[in-house]
Amino acid sequence: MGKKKSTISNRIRELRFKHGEMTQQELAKLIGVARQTVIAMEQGRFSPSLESALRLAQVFDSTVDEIFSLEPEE
Amino acid sequence: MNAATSGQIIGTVLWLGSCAGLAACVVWQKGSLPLLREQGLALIALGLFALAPCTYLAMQVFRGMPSLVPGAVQFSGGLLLLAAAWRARKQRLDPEAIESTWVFRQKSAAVVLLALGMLIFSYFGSLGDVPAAEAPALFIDTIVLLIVVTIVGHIVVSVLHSPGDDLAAPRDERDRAVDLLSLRNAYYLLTAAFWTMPVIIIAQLPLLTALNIWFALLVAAEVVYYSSVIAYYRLGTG
Repeated sequence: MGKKKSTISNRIRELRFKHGEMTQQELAKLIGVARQTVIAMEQGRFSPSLESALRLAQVFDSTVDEIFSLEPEE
Repeated sequence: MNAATSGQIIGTVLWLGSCAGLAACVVWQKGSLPLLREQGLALIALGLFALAPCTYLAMQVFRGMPSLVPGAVQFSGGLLLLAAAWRARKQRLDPEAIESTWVFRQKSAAVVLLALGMLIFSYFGSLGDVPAAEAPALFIDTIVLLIVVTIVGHIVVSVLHSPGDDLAAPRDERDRAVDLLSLRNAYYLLTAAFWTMPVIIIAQLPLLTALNIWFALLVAAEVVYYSSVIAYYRLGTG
């Protein structure tokens, strides 16, 4: 069976606003990346490393699969 | 020594007075707050504006050869610093506003691409017209041009770059990912450059031609690297 190419979507922006309307700069500082990297993550232009994904889960008091989801491409 | 005309002297004095008045307005706005970045930049810009006609006059009076070039350079520098002051003010008033989606490393890559483009144009474009004995001198001139354009371009980009947080920030995982992917793309051309060696030996090409082919492939690899950096930051790393 052939593998379909998948894209990763995330709820970072939604969770950021839910957690006291955190700014991108604040989130970037908490997970140890640049603000532009947070922007790229939210826009789906960059998938974070496992470490950053776990840090995000910690910041949002959530789990990695509640923040990120795999969507198969049509 | 040559005399300056009375008109030039009066004009310069009036210009200096205007610059001093503007500088006084900038300093007066400071109040009790510490000198803000935009005010410092504006004062330096006004200083350069004030110097420009003085430099022209000094060259005319003391050297007898008036030249607009030093004054034009100072005036241009002043304009750039004024633009930087304006951006610093906007950044202070609205830190969340993102004026440019380009990170500093993208702009830096664009500067180097511009310099490489000038190198390609000036060196490879002139190679056919220059005798073989003068090729090393042309090469050195081109490298000097590359260095100067890169340095000046980076100064301009640094001064005008508005999100000040990422200028001094260390490389994060996205920067490393972009760098690795871009290096991989450039590596393919470098590999091709290596494999041209046996072809050149078999074809018994002249040494200068062989060196120029390798140099062209090296420059092409650099173009691929910096183009990839810009593209990966813009489009994503997948």
